[in-house]
Amino acid sequence: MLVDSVHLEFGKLTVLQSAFVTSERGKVTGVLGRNGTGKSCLFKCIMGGIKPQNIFVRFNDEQSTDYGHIGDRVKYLPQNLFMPPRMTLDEAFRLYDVEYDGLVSFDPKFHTFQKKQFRELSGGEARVAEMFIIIKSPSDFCILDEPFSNIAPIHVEKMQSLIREEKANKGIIVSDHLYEAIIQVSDNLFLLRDGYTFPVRSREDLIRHGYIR
Amino acid sequence: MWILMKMTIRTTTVVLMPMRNFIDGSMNIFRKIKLSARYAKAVYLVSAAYSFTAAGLCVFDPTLTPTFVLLKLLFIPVIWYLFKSFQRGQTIYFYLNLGISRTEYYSIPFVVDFVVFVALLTFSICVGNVIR
Repeated sequence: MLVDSVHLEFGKLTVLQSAFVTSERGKVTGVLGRNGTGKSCLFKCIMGGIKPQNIFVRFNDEQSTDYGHIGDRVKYLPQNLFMPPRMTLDEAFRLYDVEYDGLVSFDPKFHTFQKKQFRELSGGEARVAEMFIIIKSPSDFCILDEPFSNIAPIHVEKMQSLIREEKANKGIIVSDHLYEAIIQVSDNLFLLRDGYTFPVRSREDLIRHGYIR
Repeated sequence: MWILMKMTIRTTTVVLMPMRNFIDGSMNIFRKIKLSARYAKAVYLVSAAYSFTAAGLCVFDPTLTPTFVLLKLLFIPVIWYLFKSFQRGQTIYFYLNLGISRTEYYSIPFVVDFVVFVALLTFSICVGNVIR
């Protein structure tokens, strides 16, 4: 998947200009950036949640992309909880075509949660369930926005393993402020700064761009 | 009566078919409508209350029909604004992930509601004519 020439403005504020990101099956692409640099906006533009001034999306050199129904090919985990609060886990797993037993194997705690609604779960539990659904759902690509925030360290490690395991089936784009966790799972790294995307090859690049000291 | 019912169904189908072509995607249009009933339940409830009231009154006085249609058209932007305002932050992505486009997300409840409204009015006018 190639996402290029993303230009997004809110009035006089330019958030993204000529931003790009690529993803391919078998690889995890990490996107880093300080707060307010437009990482989440970039992902929302890809999914069609925000309408940018300009965006170019192409899959596998296909001549035309059915951009309106991008959800058929790309699944997105937003920064905050996004499941309808009154929906049961069972229903959500069914709609996303994911086996619930997989979540139980991932964390046996969810054994009795199948009929529970998302609003009945704690924030962390709901986040783990959401993340599992997105990573495991059948799609060509998935975008994870801050997947490691608000979850226990044990789950961060498990999620990293799950991402490594699932990248064989799809391309994964992941962004988080826990940059060490991102670096560990990523094959390619990009940094967003001043609305532009910069490829990152080493830790020195992150220092040079003022992301870390 | 049976012929009138058949005509109503045919009218609804004629209106729905182009919509089906317009809303193209891997997900079936009826599944999308079913999903819209989940996220736009309030819209459907408010509109149903109005539609049934209007249809009930049109049975007795068909001359009110243009007024009800006009009022409905005026209310659509208001309800649409309220629907957008009271929407839970990130929930839209749950539906975008399922293959619904943003345009469909916002338009399906209103298109479906309007089609049902027109069908109900047509049906009630027909019933009124039969009674008279």
